[in-house]
Amino acid sequence: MNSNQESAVKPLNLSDVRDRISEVFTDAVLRHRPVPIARGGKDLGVLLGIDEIARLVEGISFEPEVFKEAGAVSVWLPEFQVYGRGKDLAAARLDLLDEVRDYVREYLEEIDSYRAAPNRRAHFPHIIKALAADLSGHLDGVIFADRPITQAEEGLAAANVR
Amino acid sequence: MPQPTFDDIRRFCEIDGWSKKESARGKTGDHDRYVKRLGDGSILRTKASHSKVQIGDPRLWHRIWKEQLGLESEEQFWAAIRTSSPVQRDAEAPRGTPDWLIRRLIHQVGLTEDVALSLSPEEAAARWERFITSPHD
Repeated sequence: MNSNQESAVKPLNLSDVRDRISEVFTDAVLRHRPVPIARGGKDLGVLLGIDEIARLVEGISFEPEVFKEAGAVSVWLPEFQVYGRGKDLAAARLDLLDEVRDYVREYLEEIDSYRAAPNRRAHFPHIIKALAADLSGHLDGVIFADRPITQAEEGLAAANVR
Repeated sequence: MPQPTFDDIRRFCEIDGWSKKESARGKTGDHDRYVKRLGDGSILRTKASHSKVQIGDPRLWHRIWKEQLGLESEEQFWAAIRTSSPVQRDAEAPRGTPDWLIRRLIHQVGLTEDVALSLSPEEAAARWERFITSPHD
């Protein structure tokens, strides 16, 4: 950042945020106004409400693949390279959601190594998408694009000719 | 080639030097979870169900050995089981750009197939990240 140019919105100092945390939170979350925050003049962050984050990742989608075999259904999620498995599609979907939550948590807990991993760094936007959806209670709808489980889908899985 | 059981996957992970780990959310659940870190920083993850059933669908098995186990061929899996020897991974990174990312670069970013396929995994990831974080209609 060029220190000779003044930014459009002056970041709040961390100490100011501490004193006015309730007001700052209301600004970001209820008034939907991003709040830039600085510490020591060089560490910069922005506090965003979950709605704004969801909007930022609106264009990102998941494309689960359903595979059916005798006595089991599996759902593979290529964006995270994980799968769920169960005796039917509903059980496989639930297992996949569990896998996704586990992966998001692991990714965020070990963010340095996952962001640096050549085979994981591209997952980051989808991690944010899944996190925001899970926090809002919409993970299932976001992963499966709100597709209901239908007999047709079960049949499609059986006849999957991909 | 036969379809593996989850016991085969568990055995492969033990032979190939994977670490067994708890789920990030602290539960053991119905699976054993394994992770392996390669020399270039790549992180491989897989799971093996406690059931002894076979993975019946070849398309799922293909994704497991390729995407999760990071193998170049199915034969590498069976050779490791047969010989009880870990896989020799070329430069510890037998990984191209994943198929889903290639598809996104072509269909969403608008790259031609030739250009998308010519990018290294790192370049492809950076191009996708740039697209995702830029304003567009």
